Amino acid sequence: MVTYHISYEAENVYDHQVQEALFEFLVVPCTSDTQEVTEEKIENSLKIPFFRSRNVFGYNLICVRIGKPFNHFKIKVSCTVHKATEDSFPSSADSLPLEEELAILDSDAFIVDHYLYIQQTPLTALPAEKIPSSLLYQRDKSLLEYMTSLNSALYGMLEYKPGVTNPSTRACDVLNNPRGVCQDYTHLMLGVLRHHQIPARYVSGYLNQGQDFMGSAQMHAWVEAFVPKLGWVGFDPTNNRVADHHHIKVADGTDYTDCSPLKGHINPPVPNKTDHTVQVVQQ
Amino acid sequence: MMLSRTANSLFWIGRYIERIEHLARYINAQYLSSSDAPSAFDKQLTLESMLFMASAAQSFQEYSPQIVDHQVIYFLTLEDQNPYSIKNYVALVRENARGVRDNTPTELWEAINRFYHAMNVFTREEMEKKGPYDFCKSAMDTTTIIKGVADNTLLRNEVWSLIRTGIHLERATQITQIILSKLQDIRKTEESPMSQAIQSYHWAALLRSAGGLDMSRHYYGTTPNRERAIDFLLLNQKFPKSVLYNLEKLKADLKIISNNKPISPDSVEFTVGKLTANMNFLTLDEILAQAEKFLHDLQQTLIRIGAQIEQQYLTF
Amino acid sequence: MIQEKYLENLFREYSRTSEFLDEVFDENGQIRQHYQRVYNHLAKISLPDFKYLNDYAKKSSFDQGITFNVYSDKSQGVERIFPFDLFPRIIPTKEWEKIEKGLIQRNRALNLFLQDIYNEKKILKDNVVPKELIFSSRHYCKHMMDFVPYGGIYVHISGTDIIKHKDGEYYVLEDNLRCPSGVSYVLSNRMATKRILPNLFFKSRVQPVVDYPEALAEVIKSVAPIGVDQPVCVVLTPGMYNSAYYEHSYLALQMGMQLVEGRDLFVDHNFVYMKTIHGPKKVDVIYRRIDDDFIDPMVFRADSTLGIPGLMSAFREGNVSLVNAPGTGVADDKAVYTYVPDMIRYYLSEEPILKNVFTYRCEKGDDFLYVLENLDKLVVKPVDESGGYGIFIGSKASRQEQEDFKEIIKANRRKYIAQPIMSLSVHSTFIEENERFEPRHVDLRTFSLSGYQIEYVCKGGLTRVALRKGNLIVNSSQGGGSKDTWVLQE
Repeated sequence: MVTYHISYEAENVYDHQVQEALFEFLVVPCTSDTQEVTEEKIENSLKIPFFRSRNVFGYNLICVRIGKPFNHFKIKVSCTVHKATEDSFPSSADSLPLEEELAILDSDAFIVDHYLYIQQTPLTALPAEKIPSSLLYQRDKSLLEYMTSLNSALYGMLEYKPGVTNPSTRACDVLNNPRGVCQDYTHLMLGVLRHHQIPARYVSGYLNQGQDFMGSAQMHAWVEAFVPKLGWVGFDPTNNRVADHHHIKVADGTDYTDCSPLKGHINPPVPNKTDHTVQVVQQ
Repeated sequence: MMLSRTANSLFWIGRYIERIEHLARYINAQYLSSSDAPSAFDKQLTLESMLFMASAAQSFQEYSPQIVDHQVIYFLTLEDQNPYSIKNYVALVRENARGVRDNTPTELWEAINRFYHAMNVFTREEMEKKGPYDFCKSAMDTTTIIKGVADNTLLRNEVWSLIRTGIHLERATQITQIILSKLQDIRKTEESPMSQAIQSYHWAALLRSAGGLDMSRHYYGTTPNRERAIDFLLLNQKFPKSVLYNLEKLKADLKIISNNKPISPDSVEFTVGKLTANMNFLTLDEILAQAEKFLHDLQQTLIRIGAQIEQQYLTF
Repeated sequence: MIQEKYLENLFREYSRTSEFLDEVFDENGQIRQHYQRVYNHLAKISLPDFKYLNDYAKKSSFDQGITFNVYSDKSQGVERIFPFDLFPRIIPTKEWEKIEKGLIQRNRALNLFLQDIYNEKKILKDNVVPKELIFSSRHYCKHMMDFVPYGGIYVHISGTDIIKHKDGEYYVLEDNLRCPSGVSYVLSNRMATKRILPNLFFKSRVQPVVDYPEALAEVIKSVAPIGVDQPVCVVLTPGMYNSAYYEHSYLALQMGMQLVEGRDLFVDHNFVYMKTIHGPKKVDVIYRRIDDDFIDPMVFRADSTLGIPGLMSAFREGNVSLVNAPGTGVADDKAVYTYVPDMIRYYLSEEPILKNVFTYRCEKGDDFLYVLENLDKLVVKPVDESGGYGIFIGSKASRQEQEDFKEIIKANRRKYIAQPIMSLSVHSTFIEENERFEPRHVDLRTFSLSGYQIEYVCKGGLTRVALRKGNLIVNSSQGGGSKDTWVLQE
């Protein structure tokens, strides 16, 4: 078991006074088989009591409604997370025989159950003819093996370069210009997997900052793909790794828009600047 | 149960209606009295006074480089470009009234709607040819009719009180502004040799602009001077346009709106109560000792009252 | 001296058509029995008197403000009335009973369908409704997944459009399951009839419609969140520039509910509050007349200024009910419509009482052959594209286009379904321009309600008239008018 101390800070500065606002933060790690959150602390500069809510996927939101004029708002969320180290990443030996795996993948009931993660979104959609053949699934090896090789192929294909893309950059843009950050790697991998009707979802979370990984300075993104019998399996194409005890998951969804750490609505809509600071310290 | 948005509309119907009436009366009174002003009197000053009273001096500067009478009058009455022209205020009254039709009698909407359509009859050419009299008279008459319709049809509940709150606060504000405006006119002419004659002319004009000349003569049995004019417009308990009279009304209406809630020091009820109490025990000499400062302070307090009303009841 | 004209003379000049079913006259030109009383009454009115009544009807709806607005900018709106025809449309008791039962059955099935496709998705797994059709729908709402609104009711208010075909049967033309409007016209048309033709009306034993606002209020209250005793219910409008604002304010007033805009409400701690002069007041049920896209900028369109940020969270937490629930649009799609009879069989194990327009499925051999041979008489729709895309209208296509389209169908038979073009019945209608009664096409917008243990159908509805000769589209923005609709008592 490994213990992390995580803190997330967001500071919003507005050009003019805001009359009212609602903010939703999707930044607290989720509790699952492999991780547990303790000692959570939430503070905000306006001393307004926050409330919790759940997004449509059931993940925890920290919400603040501000009903009085303000032009500056800062929030700090800190917590301790215990993460299991016995990584339970499955091996190909655990997979079903290929034919069975493919039969399930093609079955109507499977598609209906996972349609949300099979259907492309505007951020993940890829024109079929544009996908390099080296990335395509030939149905000659197990899904797990294919995913692992796709993970490596994307890592090799893309150049990690912050500042050239933004959260609305689409997977097809990344194909044309193979540079970007974690959400670009993730969207592209989702696009390829979904092209093959393989259920795949976007994961947001934190990355251990003590390990020299790409993308650990801010919130990180990676992929979870569904393999019959094995369930959801995590891949981090930005670092050519499987998701393990260095990855602390917050939430998942169909793409970035389901997982953005901060959503807000302000009235009136004045221009603003937001700064995020993330700290992930292993204890 | 009343929505803050509904309350906001009712309050501003009251304020705008009252503002239109005072603007119209002031423009009219200034324009008419400038024709029988003593010769030394500068016509330019009348126009500046109009702009000051309408708090429009700066926006007019951007609108026109020179202060020419028909330009100023058009700007303040019919100009679409001026968001604070009488015509635009009427449109605002109508907008607000449309949003509260569920809470108000049809007669009130119809009266306001007619006002809006009547404003569209006046043209620039006519105004330049005939002067502002017809227009201003019509605006004054119609605001009186609308207030009469409200008076005759509304239930005496918070709907009524919110409109009244708007009217009384605006009237107190406008009267203060009119006095300030006149004091400023007088200061500008103090150097002139005919100062004394001009001054008594100004005191009469002040009372006329507030619609109180006849009643002040009647009340004091003599012609107006500085003391009488200011006493009458600020402190008279029976004159419905005096600031003190309107503060007392404001206090009563706020009581209805607040549902007799206990008063806390940060509430608008507290500010109004304190201001009213202060003014009740002020002597005229105390005011006259530093009249302009007193009026500026009064104006600031009235602005604060407006902001507190908005914050307490009207924010949506 | 000129002989005064009576309506009887006008009816004698009435030009009948054999092409369509006439609601008033039978094939032999005889008055249908259920119209006899009305006919006798109208026949004795002189033309000038009738014109006077006609003008009076128009004037009274204008004075009442029963208008729909066509706004170009803020202050200048054109207010138009929805023309009202004095000759009422009459539906005999027996026919109505069937319609009413059919509507209730249909609503039950549609509600079960919505619950299913947002949760277990059994009907898709069983291949009764193609999954592609549902998942491709713009109205299939991710934010409704794995959640059941109070009582399993998604569609509380449903506006089903019905027509009477040449064969004398009623057919459902479409379902409107989002924010169906028009019920204020039903109520005001009835008010006008009572005022203008009082003797005729009170003799005629017509089923009342005035109970609609009350029934709606009951339904709205019935779905209040658990544990709320005296629910605060509001009507949410986009504002006074919306074309249906009159209806919103009318219903709010009739139901004794506050009419609010989005900016009057806010969400805190997952509850919805209304901003009042005495502070926030909790709101329990929102009858919203704003489209899904605009109700919550945190979830749907972020640029919406009409909605309430956080509303969907409050809804999913069960702290506020929305009438109708979001995401119902997926079930009133043109292609999904063709599966409603299958839904009724699937969920209720009943045969549909009301007919759907017949649907040929190209995947079936006989149907496929029929479609190829009769393409010029059919409308063909793809099953995997919602929103009216890819629809092929045979009668409007050239021979070559028809041949080309046959090839497209052959290439993917599963993808296509076809329906005959339906002929709407006609109804004798007063035409002002030439002062005559002429046949005009009519349909019927019905209004039915589903609450917690409440099912209600408004006994009547909005008979819409296509005022332009031969026009099949009956819509207020397309030069349409309306008639009071009388459902007779036994």
